[in-house]
Amino acid sequence: MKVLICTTGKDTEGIGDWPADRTVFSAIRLHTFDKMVALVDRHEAECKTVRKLREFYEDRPGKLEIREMDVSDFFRCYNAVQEVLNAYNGHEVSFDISGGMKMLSVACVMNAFNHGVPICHYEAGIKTSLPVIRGFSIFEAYTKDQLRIVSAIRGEMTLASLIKVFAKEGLDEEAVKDGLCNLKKPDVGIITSWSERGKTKITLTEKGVYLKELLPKKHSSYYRSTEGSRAP
Amino acid sequence: MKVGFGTLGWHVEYLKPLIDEGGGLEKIVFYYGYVDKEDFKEKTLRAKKQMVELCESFEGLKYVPTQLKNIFDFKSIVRKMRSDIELELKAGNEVVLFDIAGGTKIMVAAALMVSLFKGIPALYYDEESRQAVRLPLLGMKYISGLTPREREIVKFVIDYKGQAELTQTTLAKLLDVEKGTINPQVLKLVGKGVLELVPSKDHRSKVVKAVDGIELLLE
Repeated sequence: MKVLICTTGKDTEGIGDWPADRTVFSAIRLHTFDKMVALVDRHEAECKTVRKLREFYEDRPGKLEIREMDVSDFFRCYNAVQEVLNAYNGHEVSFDISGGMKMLSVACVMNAFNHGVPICHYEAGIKTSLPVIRGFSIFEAYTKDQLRIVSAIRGEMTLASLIKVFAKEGLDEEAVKDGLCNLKKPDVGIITSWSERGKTKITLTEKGVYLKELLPKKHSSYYRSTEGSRAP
Repeated sequence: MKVGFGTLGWHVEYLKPLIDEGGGLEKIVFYYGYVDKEDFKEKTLRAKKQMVELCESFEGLKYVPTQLKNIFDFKSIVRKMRSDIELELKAGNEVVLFDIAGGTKIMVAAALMVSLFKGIPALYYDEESRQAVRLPLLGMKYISGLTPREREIVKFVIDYKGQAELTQTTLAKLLDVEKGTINPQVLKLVGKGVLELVPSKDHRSKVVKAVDGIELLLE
């Protein structure tokens, strides 16, 4: 299924030019769902593209979806977009960042580059496709165990306590040490370690903290869908 | 010398965090541009003037206002930003920050892409909270999404200047491989959104083309 995720604002110019099986309008936190629907309705009379879209979708339930996004800070916004991408995992997803607030668009662009999702923009009559390698994932540079380690590190920790955490989850000491060793390499630069009172201590570098921020959050919910269920 | 880059729109406030967060910047390169609409031009030039005044209020701070010819042309903006950054690096300067908050979305997206691939920390000014946010940029080796052989093929297609249309058969001949070898590789690259197959002039075969802008990932 072709899914188009659109950042939605007052200006919906161009959206109708990117046809998809499902179009996801991403509304921002300040709009409740009802307000968002009202926004689309209000602009129906003014925006040909929206009217065109609604005419196209009115006989096709589920073709048009509105998601309320949390944009209270950049990382929540980034994660909200990432959650939508996860919800449509396995489908042919692309972004249209023509409308809406810039923060949401920036979060979409970052997600697009980090996850290899095509991205389009339409403004002043010019269509632009940003170059991405479809299917690329920033996380592919790391193994699952390495990402688990990054996710588990909080502030400064001793190596022993990290090993203890993972022992409960079935990851043995060797695997933890191996993962840490790779993450510490200078060209990777995710973790730094030092010795303190005879104990090995570890923490995430600035780059590591960034990587942790980008990891999908297990139990977060930064959006509300019109559909009631996340998976299409 | 510590250098900061930024994109400027209508509001100088969006670029102020560059100075605040830059940690003793000695030079600022900022991009601005406008379309041929009176209020657009006026607002942009007013912001540029304010930015120049702001830079001049810091003793010894050098500044380079750089006008973009087309604020909607993604490729030319990326190339301009990249070449300016490379010039700074060649001169032995350190590019410490890129404030990407101002200007058109295309300017912002271009600045983000440049920062992302060059591993330059980027800064975003959140107009709602009025706070500067450092964006998580990891210095992505984006090209690692393609194998060396795939890069070779894509580069060949981009550089191809031959008279004949570049069908898969022609491509196989020029690369001195069997058509059966090149076909799956081309299809894989089409799947990755790097190449596309478009009808030939006589509509009898498909021509291999690089997707517009993809050369930016190889440069």
